[in-house]
Amino acid sequence: MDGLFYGSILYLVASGLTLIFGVANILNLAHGAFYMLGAYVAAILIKLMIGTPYTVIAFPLAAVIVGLTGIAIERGFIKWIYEKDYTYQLLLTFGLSLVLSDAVRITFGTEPMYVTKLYAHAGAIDVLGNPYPVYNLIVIGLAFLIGCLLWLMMSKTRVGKVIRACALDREMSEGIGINTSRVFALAFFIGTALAGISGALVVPQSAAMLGIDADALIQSFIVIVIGGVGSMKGALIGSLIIGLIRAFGIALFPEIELAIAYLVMAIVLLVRPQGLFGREYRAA
Amino acid sequence: MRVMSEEAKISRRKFIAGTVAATIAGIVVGAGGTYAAFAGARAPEKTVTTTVTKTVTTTVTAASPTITPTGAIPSGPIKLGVITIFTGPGAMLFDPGFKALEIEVEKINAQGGILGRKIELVVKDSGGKPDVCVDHFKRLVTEEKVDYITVGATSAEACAIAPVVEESNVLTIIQEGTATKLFEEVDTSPKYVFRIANYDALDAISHAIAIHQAWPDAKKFAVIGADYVWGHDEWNIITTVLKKLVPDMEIVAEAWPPLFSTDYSAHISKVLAAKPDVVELCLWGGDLVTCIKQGTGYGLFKQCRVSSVTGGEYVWGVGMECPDGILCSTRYYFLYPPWDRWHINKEFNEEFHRRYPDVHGGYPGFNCNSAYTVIHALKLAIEKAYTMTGRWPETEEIIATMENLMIPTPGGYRYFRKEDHQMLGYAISGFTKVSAEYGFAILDPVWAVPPEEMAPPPGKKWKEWVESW
Repeated sequence: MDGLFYGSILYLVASGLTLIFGVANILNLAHGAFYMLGAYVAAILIKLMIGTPYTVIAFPLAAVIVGLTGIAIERGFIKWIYEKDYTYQLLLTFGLSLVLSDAVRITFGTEPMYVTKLYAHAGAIDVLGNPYPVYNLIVIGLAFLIGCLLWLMMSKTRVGKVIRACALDREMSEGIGINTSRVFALAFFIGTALAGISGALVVPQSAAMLGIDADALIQSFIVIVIGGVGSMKGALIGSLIIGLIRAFGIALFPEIELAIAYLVMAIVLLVRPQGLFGREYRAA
Repeated sequence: MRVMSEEAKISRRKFIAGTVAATIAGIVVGAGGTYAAFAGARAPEKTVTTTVTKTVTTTVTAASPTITPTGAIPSGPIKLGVITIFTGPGAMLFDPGFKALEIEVEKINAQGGILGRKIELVVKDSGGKPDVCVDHFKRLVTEEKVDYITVGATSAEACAIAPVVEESNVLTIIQEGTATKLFEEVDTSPKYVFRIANYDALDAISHAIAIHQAWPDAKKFAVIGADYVWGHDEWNIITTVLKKLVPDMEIVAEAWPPLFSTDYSAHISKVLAAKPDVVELCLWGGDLVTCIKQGTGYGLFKQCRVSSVTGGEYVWGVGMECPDGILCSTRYYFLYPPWDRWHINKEFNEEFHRRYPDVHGGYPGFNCNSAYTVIHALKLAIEKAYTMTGRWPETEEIIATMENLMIPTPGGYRYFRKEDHQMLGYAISGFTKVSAEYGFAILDPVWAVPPEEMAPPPGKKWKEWVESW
């Protein structure tokens, strides 16, 4: 139960990361910064709206704002390096992550931003004799719902098919008249919006604070390495594995809480280097 | 003849110094009486006696060096180098502290500065990184040629900078940097380094004493602690003290989340499953807020008693949903000593609140008190040294004065210990109680543990001292 909540948040962050990589072939090191931005934007919006019935809108709104920032950054910077070597994108996205987190610090200040009321008002219910916060259940349900929507979009709609086509073969897609540049922008929007919404969902039960970006980035990297880079299904299974293993690890081996995720990743890399659901790497 | 007149002058100055000190002693006695009134159950007589004895020593030592008064006061401003943290997670602690420092410097400058010299701040941001901090220090000394330096530092920075300071001969006052090993291992006979804040071992020892006072029947303890040096060290000290106070105590569960975790549910479930009497939250900042919030959802506060070694000001972030009855400790608490009995604290808080209603919950935190203390201790030490020298005192003369300095701060009287340059002051503990007036949980009741009860004697390491109880 404890692992599910953590896994759900992780899934949302990781699916955004893996989507961007899968479609645009960009390993976005600034993904954690988008997550942090989502948390801050949501904190501001919730503070403005708290007490009104519109508070719920703060979450999708934060996601959209972060998604738009994502598009802006993709159009402004990342667009220019699609054809370049991996080194360029690592340098660029890492630089962007530093710039973004500094921008967050300058805009929102150095102190953590807290949101009260929401988490406590959701209350707690009894699960097997122990109280369990309702808010966590809502987040788990929401992550499930978003996951379903993503799956539906990718497998059933035309947009999804186009995105998958671009992911498989960019040149071929361009050949059959798909505007790949637009598709990449869309992938960035969805991917960063997913980071944004997970940051937003964390705020009511935690805080928007500097430093949360690094952890989110590293954990979601582990998830997509385990699940298979670029695979949406992999992101789901990977985050569930990490969420549950972390919960068991805390209960049974508290000394290696940090190490246990890396351990699982190492084992997966040894046994199945492409990840559980990853496809074999193509020659570049 | 001339020599005689000099001596006469000196003895007059000595006399003045003595009078000043005696007046301070008088104030202390008065203040001690006031403390006795509000210190409540905390053995007030003992506090008063110790305080007075200390002041008398101060008087004698402070007046003893005979320095020939020559020269006058330099005309330029005093350049005070400030290295502190404006970027990274440490900033939430040190940024408000710097604001408090600015307020006090402005105030002192408006009143004419120190002996007529204005204070000019040369500010550097270390980002909490030891190498950057050392680098800034060297530049402040060699390039900016500052007169004195204060460092708002993390533990790692303090330990890295102390050996460099000792070689540079520049008086350096560290605000927090509260690693216990700073004066126990790294810089065992400090000359140029002073430290203001009660250090980690004192936080932990006083907190453990408070836990035992609050819940003498508690035997089973658990911890949710930040997984880095500080978290483990504090828990080690707390449990060492508790073992002395409660010989049959046991540690039933430990959970060590990394810094800046956003999810504590598995940790909370784990400690709850062990059915402890008391759960210690060895966390700070946003981590503590998150853990308290999530603990509420998991029934943590209904199922056991909870304490936190740093809680005092961080629980403000939980707002009105903070559970009542969490035992929190801190180095300075904005409502202690009570404003109606300690004007410095009232004015300090009101000024900060007026200027920065949105910073740090609108009220100064423990680093703000440290920052206040830095500038006022420096001012007092320079002025006292001047009463003996009759000219602008040399750094060594300021140090000699500072080594025995006692100073009123917003958090009550504090004094430097000559032997290890550590300043000591009250440690504050109290129970959270949600306050509609402030919009967050305040500590009520709140009480103080005097330094003499929680600080190892000079030269003794905390461990040998606690083991000897």
